Amino acid sequence: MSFFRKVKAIFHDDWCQSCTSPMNLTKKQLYALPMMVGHYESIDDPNYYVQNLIKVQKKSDIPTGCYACGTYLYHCPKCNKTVAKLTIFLPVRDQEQIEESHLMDNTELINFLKNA
Amino acid sequence: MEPKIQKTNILYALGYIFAPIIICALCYSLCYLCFRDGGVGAVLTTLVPSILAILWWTFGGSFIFKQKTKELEKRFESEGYRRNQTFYGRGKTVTLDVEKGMMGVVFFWNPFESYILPTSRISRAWVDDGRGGVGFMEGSSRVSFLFTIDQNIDVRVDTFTSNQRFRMDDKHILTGISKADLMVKNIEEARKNSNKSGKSASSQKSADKTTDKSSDKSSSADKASEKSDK
Repeated sequence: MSFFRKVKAIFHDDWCQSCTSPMNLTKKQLYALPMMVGHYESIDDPNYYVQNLIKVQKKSDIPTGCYACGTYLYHCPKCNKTVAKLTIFLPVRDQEQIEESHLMDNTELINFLKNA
Repeated sequence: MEPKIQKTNILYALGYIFAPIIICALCYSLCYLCFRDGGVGAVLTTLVPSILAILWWTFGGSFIFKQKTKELEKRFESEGYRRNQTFYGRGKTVTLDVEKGMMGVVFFWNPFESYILPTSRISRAWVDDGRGGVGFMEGSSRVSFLFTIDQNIDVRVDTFTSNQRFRMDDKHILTGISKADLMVKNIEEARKNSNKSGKSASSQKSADKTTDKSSDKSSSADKASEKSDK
C-alpha cells in the first residue's frame, strides 16, 4: 500500500515526498524571470531564483517575451516540512507555455518566498 | 534622399542559381570536346565543377549572408546605435535600436546592400500566426512578423517554420508567436521614438526658422540645422 502511495506521490507535486500525505498550499505568488524567449536555460540552483525573481502582481505586468515563474509554498502538516514549487512558463497572449517545474526545499529560497 | 529598400537583387539571385549551371555546362562541353577518353582532364571538367556547384548552393549563400550580417552589426554599432534587439530570421536579419528608433536590415537575396533606416519609415508591423484549418485540424506551420517600409514594401520574417502543421497551443507555435510579438512590440516602440525625435527635430527646425526671420541671421539657421541633423 505504501509503495503504491509513494509511486502516486511522484505524480502529485502537492503530496509530501517523504510521508506521501497531501500538503497544504500556504502561499502562491507570480514572479518575472529575467530570461527572454529563445534564450531559456534550465537552472536548478535555488540561489539563482533568490537573486533573480522579480515580483509582479498579475500576468499582464510581465513584459512580452519574458519568462514567468509561478511559486507555490506547500506545508506538510504531518512532518512539518515546507516545500517550494516553481513553475517556469512563457506567457503568450492568453496562453502559457510551461517549460518545467522544480520542487525545492532550500531554506533560503523558502524564506525568500515567505517574506516576499 | 533615403535609399530605396530592395529585398532581392535579381542579378545576384540569377547568378547564384544559374552561374554554377552555366559553368558546369561549359566544363561538360569542354570534357566532351577534349577529354572523351577520360583521365584527369575529364575528372577536372566534370566531377570538380559538379562538387563545387553543390557546395556553392549548400554553403555559399548562407556564408555570404552570415558575413554580411556581421558587417551590418558592426556598421550599426559604428554609426553610434545600440543593438537592443536582433532577430536572425531565415533569409533576413533585423536589428533594432529602440531608443534611437533605428533599424538595420539585411536580406539573403540582396546581401551586398544592408540598410540602416529610421523606423519612422515603417508604416505598420504585425504578427501572422499562420492559423489555418478548422476543428481538430486547426494549426499552423509558419509564424512570422511583418512590417511595411515606405508604405509598399512588406518584409516578412519567419520566427517559426515547419513542413508539418502544429496545433496552435504547441510549444513551437507559442514560442514563435512570443518571438514575433516581442519584435513587433519593439518595432512599434522604436517607431514611436523615431517619430518623436523626427517631430522634435522638425519643430526645432521650424522654431529656428522663425527666429531667423525675426533676427535676419542666416548663419544661425545653418548651425541649428546641423544640430538637428546630428
